[in-house]
Amino acid sequence: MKDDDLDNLEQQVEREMQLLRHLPPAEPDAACVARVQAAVERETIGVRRKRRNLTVLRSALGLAAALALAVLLTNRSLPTAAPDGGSPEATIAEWAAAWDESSTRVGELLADGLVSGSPAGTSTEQMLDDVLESLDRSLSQLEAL
Amino acid sequence: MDKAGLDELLERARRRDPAALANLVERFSSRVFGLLFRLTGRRDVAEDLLQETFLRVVREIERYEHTGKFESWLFRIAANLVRDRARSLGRRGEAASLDAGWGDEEVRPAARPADTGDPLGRLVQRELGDRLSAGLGRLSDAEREIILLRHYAELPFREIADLLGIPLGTALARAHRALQHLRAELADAD
Repeated sequence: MKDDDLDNLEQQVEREMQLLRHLPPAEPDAACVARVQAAVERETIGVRRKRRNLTVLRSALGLAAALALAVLLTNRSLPTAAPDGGSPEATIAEWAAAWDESSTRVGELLADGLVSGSPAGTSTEQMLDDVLESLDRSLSQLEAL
Repeated sequence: MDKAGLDELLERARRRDPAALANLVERFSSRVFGLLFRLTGRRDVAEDLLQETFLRVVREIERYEHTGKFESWLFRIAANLVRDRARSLGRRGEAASLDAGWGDEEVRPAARPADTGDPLGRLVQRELGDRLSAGLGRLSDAEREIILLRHYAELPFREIADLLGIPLGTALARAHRALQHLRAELADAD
């Protein structure tokens, strides 16, 4: 169908649609709208709680993974040289410092109420993402050894 | 509400601000309910689906990218819920067609247009409205869906075609056919 034909058909259909102006309105009653709003509020609270729990779970999994790797590392013999040319001891020390910092920040965040159920704002989530990124970096350093 | 107001409301809703989400319900529930009621023909089902529509909004609004087509997104959710229900009923063999309950339920008198002061005019208006309601129930599901989306969602046919995943020409032809059928129904009733 050509564009002109489509335009003409559209105009014709739009004119014909005026017929539906005579359709009686079908409105939800006030009680129904109130019920929907209450359900929406409950769902909002539920979704926010799930997201918060997921965030805490992510951080806990990150910690567990880091711990597992650290334990594995202590049971392995160290290579004679780190990939970046530095000494393995220095790299380990650098990682350990990053790990300490990450752990401390996660601990602070948890103590600040993430677990106890206070609303997690964007800034708090951002802080947690930073911590997880920091953990990821620490783990990357470990993997490179 | 102007576009800027809606943008701001949607931004707050995306952050799951309860007041913003309640405001969306307030703002859109009439039109969404109208679509659901006219598509299903049943007030109780329309009420359930209205609630489910807005619960989906809460769950999925983070994934909605606002490009000025919120209504298209919202009414797509509502229309899909009606289709899902029809499929579910079909699987259970309860009613293959959406129009099983059509004509059984009266639109509340309070919801009818305000009195014009002209008794004959009111009677004619009411008669026409009732015939239209009944005629809609006798259209095919696809025909009814397209003209009700145009009427309640107030979307241009181009967006409705996108929403339904069909070419614009098909959407227009289907709407034209639906309206012809409606007119024929009204003429037959005379």
